[in-house]
Amino acid sequence: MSLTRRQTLKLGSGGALALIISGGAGFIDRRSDGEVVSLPDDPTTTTTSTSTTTTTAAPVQVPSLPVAVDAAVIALGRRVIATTGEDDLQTLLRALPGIGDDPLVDAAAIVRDDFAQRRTVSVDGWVLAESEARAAAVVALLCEADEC
Amino acid sequence: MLTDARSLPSGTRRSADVCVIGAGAAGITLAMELMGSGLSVIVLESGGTDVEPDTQDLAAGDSVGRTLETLDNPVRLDQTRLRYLGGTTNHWAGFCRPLSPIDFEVREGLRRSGWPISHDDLLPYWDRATEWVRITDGDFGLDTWEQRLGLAAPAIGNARVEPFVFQLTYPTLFGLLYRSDLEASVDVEVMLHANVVNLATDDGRAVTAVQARTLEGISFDVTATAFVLATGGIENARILLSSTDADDSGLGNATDQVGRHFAEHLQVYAGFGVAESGAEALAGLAGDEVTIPSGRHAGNRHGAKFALGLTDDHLRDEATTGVEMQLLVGNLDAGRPAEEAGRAGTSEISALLGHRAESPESVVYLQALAEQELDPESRVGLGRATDATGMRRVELDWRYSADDRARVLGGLRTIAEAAGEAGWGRMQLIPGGVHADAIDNLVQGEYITLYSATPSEIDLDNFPIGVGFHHMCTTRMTDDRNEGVVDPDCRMHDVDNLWVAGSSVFSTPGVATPTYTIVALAVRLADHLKSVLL
Repeated sequence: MSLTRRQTLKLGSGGALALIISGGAGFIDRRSDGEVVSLPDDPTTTTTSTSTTTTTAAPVQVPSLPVAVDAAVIALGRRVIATTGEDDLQTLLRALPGIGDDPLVDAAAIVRDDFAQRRTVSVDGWVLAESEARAAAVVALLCEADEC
Repeated sequence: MLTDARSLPSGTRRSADVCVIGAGAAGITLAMELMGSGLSVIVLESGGTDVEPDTQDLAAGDSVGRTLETLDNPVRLDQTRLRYLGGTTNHWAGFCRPLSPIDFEVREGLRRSGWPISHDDLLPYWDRATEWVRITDGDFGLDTWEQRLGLAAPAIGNARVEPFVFQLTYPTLFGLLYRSDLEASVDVEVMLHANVVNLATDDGRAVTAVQARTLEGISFDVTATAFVLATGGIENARILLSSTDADDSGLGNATDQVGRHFAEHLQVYAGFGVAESGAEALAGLAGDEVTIPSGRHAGNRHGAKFALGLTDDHLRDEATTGVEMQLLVGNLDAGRPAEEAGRAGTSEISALLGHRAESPESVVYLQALAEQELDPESRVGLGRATDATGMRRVELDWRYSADDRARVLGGLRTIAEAAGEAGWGRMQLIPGGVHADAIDNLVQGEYITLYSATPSEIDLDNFPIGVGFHHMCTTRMTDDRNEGVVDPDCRMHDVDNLWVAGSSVFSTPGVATPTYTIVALAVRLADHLKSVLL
């Protein structure tokens, strides 16, 4: 798979959800100035199964996260889990839109649609889209399992 | 001319065509509008030309209902009003915004909502009010102001939320601004240190004289063809309730409506926001200055800025109350609040949004102002204690409900969701968890307040609600004398020669800051008085 720089930026704007989705497509690395510097073209890093949907009971393929996950996102994910009480990785993954879909899905658009449809959750007062909150929780769980 | 009641012989009787009680935003606007009309005007002002503690004490009273407070600070009644020339414009923040059309409509499910006049009825008077409050004009359109400021309004908007414009006038102290005009006038006399203690009447149907007193004990009265009460939302009711010549319940109070429906703007220290798109998206929220192109104040500069509010359609569809949110830019220490350990703060959200290097300028403080539903039991009454003039002091029983609180939270969340939908960023709503640092810091020549965030203190059932010093609806304008005190001309339903000016006549509070509308209504009342008296 080959992603253009523009496509990569689009993925990056989806926050934690983009991390999860891109976990199937590759990984994004940002320098401190925000510049996207690399994106693997190797399709073998794509682990998200296109046959898996969020409505099946079959286990969802666990994505592999980028090598450098911001510790702040992990901390946020922990707060999401503490707030919602939902700590089952498979349950969270099934509820995540975009998983199992085209890895180029616009994560930012999914997040915006959550807000538009008022599918939001409050975490320490932060009004977050359900999808990005779940994604942060997934990130936290994966990292606790030493998979990030 | 400016005179001082302390120089009058006790027992003096003065007369004029119009006697205006109070020289604040409403009273001075009335006087200026009537100046040169052929009508003689006496304005009675409690204070002098600067604050005087003994006079200020006349505004003191007991608050027996909801607590009056601002962020982390209790507020006394006498701190909410200023009794000297210019009135409470002497600490006016200068935010101008007209009411919205929805404010004039009856909203099903909201008690006593709506006015007996329409938004369109007030449009020409808001236009004329621009001259008195010193803003550019009555055009508050987003496109207009984006062009004038050269700044973009925040791109946050859907069917429920929209940006709007504040015009900011500063410092617009009516006493200072119009003092020379008042001094030079031959037909308007502003009498200082004149504390009104009674509206004398024989039968309760007409005022025969205003009885006033100085703190030195000089008593005098003023007769007039028309009398106008313009002393603020609390004092207007207090004077009516204290005027018991014909009825122990007060003047014009046969239906027991005087002082009821006291409303404040619910000020909520809501939390913080992190912008996804960086500091450039915040420029319109900080605003800028423009030059007034023409008119009385041509060449003066004043400010304008954008903020966010709920749309009329949303308020109508949901039968809910207005909420507006200012996103205050650049007044936070290093651009971000001190955060509570172990909680999600701006750093986490910034990381979520993909900012590895958090931009301090992208963090904003959220301050909200909200409308409350009218409650007849929320009221201005009289206590047992008396002041230095012998008048009974105010006893304020301010009330708001759990439903009001829920509507505020719903409105804030609606705005936060619109911000996320627009890709603007994320908002943290922690009412009760925002605290001001006790020490102000001097930053770039201005004193600012620092904030800390303690989400663990969020109490959605009991978070503190501050006040805007906006006292409204205590002599509300209605067609039905059983639901209010003045008619659509601002004349008392039951007193033929007594009119009321100021935000006490607001039928429904709305969420817009009130002074601009107070001035517009005063302009309108001046026209009415001319039509009646000339």
